[in-house]
Amino acid sequence: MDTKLKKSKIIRAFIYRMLTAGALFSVIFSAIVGKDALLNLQREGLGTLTGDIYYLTEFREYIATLYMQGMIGYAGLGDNNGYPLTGSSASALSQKAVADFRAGVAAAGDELIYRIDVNTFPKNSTAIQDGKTTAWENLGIVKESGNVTYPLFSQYDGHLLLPDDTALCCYWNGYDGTLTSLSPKHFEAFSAAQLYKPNETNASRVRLLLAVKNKEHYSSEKLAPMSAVAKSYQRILWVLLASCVLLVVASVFSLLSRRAAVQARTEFAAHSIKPWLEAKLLLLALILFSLFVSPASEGFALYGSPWLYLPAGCLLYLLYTDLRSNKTAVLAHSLTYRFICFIRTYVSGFPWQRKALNVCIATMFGILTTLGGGLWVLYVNFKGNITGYYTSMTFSILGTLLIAAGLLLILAHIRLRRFLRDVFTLTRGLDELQAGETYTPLAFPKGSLLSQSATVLNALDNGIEAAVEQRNRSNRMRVELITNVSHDLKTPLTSIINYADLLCEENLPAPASEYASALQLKAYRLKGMVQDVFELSKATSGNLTVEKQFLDLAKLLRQTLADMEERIAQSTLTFKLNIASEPVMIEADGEKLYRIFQNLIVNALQYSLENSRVHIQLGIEEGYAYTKVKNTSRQELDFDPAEIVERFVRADASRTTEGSGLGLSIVQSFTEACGGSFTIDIDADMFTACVCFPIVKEGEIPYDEKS
Amino acid sequence: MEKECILVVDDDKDIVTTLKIQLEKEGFQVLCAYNGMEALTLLEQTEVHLILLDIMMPRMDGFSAIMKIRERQNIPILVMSAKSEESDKILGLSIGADDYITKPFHYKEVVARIRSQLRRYMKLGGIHSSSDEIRIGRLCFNFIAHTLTADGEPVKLTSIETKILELLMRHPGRIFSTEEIYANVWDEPIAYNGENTVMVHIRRIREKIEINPGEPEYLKVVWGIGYKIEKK
Repeated sequence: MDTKLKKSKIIRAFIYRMLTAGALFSVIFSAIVGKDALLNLQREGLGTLTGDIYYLTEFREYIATLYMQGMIGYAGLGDNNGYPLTGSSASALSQKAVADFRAGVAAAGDELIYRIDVNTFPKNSTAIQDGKTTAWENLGIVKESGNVTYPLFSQYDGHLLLPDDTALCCYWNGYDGTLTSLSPKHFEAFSAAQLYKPNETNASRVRLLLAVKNKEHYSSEKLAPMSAVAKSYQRILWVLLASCVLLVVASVFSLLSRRAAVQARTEFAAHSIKPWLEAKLLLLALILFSLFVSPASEGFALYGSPWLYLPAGCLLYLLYTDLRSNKTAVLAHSLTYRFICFIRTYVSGFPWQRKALNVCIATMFGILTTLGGGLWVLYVNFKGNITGYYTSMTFSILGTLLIAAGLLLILAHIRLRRFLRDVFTLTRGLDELQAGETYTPLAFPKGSLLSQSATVLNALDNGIEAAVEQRNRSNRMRVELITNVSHDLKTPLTSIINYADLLCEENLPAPASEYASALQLKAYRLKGMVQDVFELSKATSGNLTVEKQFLDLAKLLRQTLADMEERIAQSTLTFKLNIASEPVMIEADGEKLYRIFQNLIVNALQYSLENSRVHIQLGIEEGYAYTKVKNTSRQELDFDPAEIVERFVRADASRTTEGSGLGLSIVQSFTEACGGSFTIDIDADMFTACVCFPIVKEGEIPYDEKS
Repeated sequence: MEKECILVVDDDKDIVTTLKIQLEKEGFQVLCAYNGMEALTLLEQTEVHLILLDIMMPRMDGFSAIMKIRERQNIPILVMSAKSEESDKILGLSIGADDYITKPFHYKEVVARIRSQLRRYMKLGGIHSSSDEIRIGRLCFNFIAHTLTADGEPVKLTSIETKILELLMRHPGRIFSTEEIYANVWDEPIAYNGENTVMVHIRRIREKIEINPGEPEYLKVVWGIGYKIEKK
């Protein structure tokens, strides 16, 4: 309906589309990722111990945490820093830990795991500065449940009882807090702990953590922050839900604004074509990177943050729309393509184009050297390799100036490139115009230095087109006029001839019969003239049908002379022939050629001096056949050779001789229509008409034409 | 013998009048019409043997008239027109005209063409072709008797002329070079000025068999190549 939609409406329609696409992408992607995360979650269990289980409070409650400071053991349950314990309290606490562990955590069949943390603390500080943590390792499976005996801890003193098959030899005495034995081979942590001697600057705490693997959720919700996997799983679920809602809403809106969307896409395409393809590819790479590569802070996940799914989807939609609307034009708008174009113009362009591009290359080198030099000077200066205040200062200024010069050169280079591009376009337009090809009007961008010239060229093209059109129209009109006039002339002429014929057949008295025969004679001449005018008009307006074929010009001349033999014999003239006996092959219309030579011979018969000689020669020169008809004129030839071929111009100004005065004009028109050329040469009373045609070589004649 | 009736149709009254006088002098009965409609009305009322028809006429032009006439009658139709284009001639002949004369014409040519058409229409009913003779338009050459008839009338030819014509008539449409004709007719390689000799003979034959030798219909010169009998 209304093709002109409001700009804001179009923009809104486009945004709806984009959001729909983005939401769709987000839904699909988060569903896939969510499923993956769920699988992970199920496999690992909520109590997965890959990460920061230490921070889970409820786990901490059930972990026997053993602190050791130096060789004196601390033990107890603790917060992040643990609490330092001494003597009996340590024992009590450790017993409590064991009891708790016994009571709530480890059931028969549970798998126990351990980890050792080594943390260093500055004295009198609670902040952990550095840490070294071993991976969780299996300790063994709890053999009994609800009983007095636990396989790993002694019932009385909280000794860590190790399964026989492990090499772990960590024995912790619950009473005095000493670690009985520890294998340095397995416990790098311990050896690290040993390095930190008590009473030295850095106190060290070594912590032994025990946990039950795959145990789910031991305590109340509020105390239980989720694991990273669970957290990211929940986030994915949120994103999925939000995307679904957005998808529904945006789809409805974009359905409503369907009509504007088409226009929106074309408008967008017009803008989106502008950035280089390389930039788009970089954007695509960034999107993919953000989707599939997780940020380092995330403990889990193969995938990027779920909050990026929607913007990534939107951007992908933009890229897709651009590709769909602009298709291969996208390829043309790239640095690579421009580079290829540059090379192509350089290689196959005109010499002047190459020279112009040389200037471009020179400026490019200038840019590289000044920018590179400036950066290098600044870098060297910054590294502190330059000593001395003034020297350093000078270097700074020098570097800055070089960089400024480089930037200016870049600007100059861009302007130069634009100017050259416009020059190339302009010259191409000129070439097109000159060759008469289809000329596409030039449209230079605003502010182009050559826009004035482009306007002039466009106007020139319009002028030429109009002139050609005008000429065609006047030609058409002329042909119509000729046809109509010739019909209007011929009809009464028929009656005149018929009446004259009838009149002559009557037995009229003496003067009347003479008048009648004069009338008859003139009527017949008029008939010839009308036909000549008609043919000539057709020839000069380019409406002559020419049927070219390969023929022997020498034979044609002999045939023509034989055809006109009677008229030649009746005249007082002698015809001297110099025509080769071997064939002279040309390509032309035989009928037209016959008319050409007939006219020339008739011309010679009419205007030659009585009893003189007419020479007809056929000569070959440099691939051209020259036919010359030479005669001596009866009258003085006091006219211009170019003038005589003009229509109705005749050698005798009194126009008493026969003929329409169109003979030579017809000769010229027909010769040109057949692809030859006609010239007249006058030397005193010698009149020479020369018809010239290119000779066709033997090999160029098709076989079936030879016979 | 009863006079043949000719219908002359042209919107130019003078042309009709002069033609009427001239044709009546030649012994024809002449009916006049000034447009296609009148011609058709007259044709229904009277028996006509031949129609002489202009193309550009008011009310009904010549082409439409020809098509109307051809729906019912088979009489010869001669078109006379100021349009001298080859394409006009072809159009006229293809929709049923038997001959095409361009204006301005000489009445003697018109009479000759009328006679030719009438002879063929009246006397030579069907075409009884045999292998002994070849018929091309109004010409018929008998290869056994070595005689030529034009519109059924015998044409007197010399022996050289008969030989040339026989050679050309055996292969209508084929172009014979002067050398070939010379070698076949005179039975010797072409002599000096042979071209001229052949051409002179051709011109004489043309004067005998063509209605208007200036614009030959049958025996044609293919300029720069040779001669041929037009394949009709």
